[in-house]
Amino acid sequence: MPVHKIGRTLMPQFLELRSELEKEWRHPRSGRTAEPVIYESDPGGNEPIQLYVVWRRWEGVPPSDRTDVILDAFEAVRGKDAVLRVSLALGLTTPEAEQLGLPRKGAERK
Amino acid sequence: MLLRERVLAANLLVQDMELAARRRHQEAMTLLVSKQPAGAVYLFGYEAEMLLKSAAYRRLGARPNSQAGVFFRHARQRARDIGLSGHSDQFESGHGLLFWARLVWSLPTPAGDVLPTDLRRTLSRHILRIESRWVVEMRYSPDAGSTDEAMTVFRSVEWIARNRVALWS
Repeated sequence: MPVHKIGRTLMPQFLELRSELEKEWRHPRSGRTAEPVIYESDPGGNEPIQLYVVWRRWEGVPPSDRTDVILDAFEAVRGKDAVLRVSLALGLTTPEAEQLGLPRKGAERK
Repeated sequence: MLLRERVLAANLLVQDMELAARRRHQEAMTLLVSKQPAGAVYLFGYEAEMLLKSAAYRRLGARPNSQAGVFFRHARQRARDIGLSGHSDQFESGHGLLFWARLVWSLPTPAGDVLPTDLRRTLSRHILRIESRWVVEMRYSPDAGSTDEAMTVFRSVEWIARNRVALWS
């Protein structure tokens, strides 16, 4: 009997988000209104990496799918070892980021 | 929706425990600096529990957005499979730090790596320091604790927090 392995793949509607996010990660645009805004907290060594992406395009995207998009884009840019260190990958709209009190200190805008 | 309803309705993800652990840490620090050591120990203990659970779930293949409830059941099953059920008294309704630590050092990562012996020894030492000062039942106790006890627990929880990636990778 053939064995079909089911991998964790992004749903097609999220591939564009992933691709845009990866592009932003590789070539960050400047400007106060540019989105997505990426906050990457990497203390270095083997300490956990925390990622926050503020983007109005998260509207209507379930939180778990937002995290998948972020992790996939991050892995494409930083590699498999780095993604293993990620303890938190939150996709937030601007109001959600304000509600969470996004930690600006210690987080670096990329 | 009020707090209780919000908490019970939430579909808890592994990374929610990361956020919750950070919040408990901040609350515990507030209690520690305002000289309320028992309250600080109580919250630091829960922080340690969440960090260890997250590490165990990650060793079982969880990602930050995996459902915590699914991995809790998976972890219990794996504990039985590898013979940790003999230590079920240490499970303490899911709060037993030694149970979760044993699981962390007994499980290989998805890549097949086991926890290095020196890391296991150090983790064990910190878990014993916390376990000898923290227990869920302390919520019923009028004992105020001491600043020394709270500081010891704080230092050990800090060690777990700083080294948690090494515990799961």
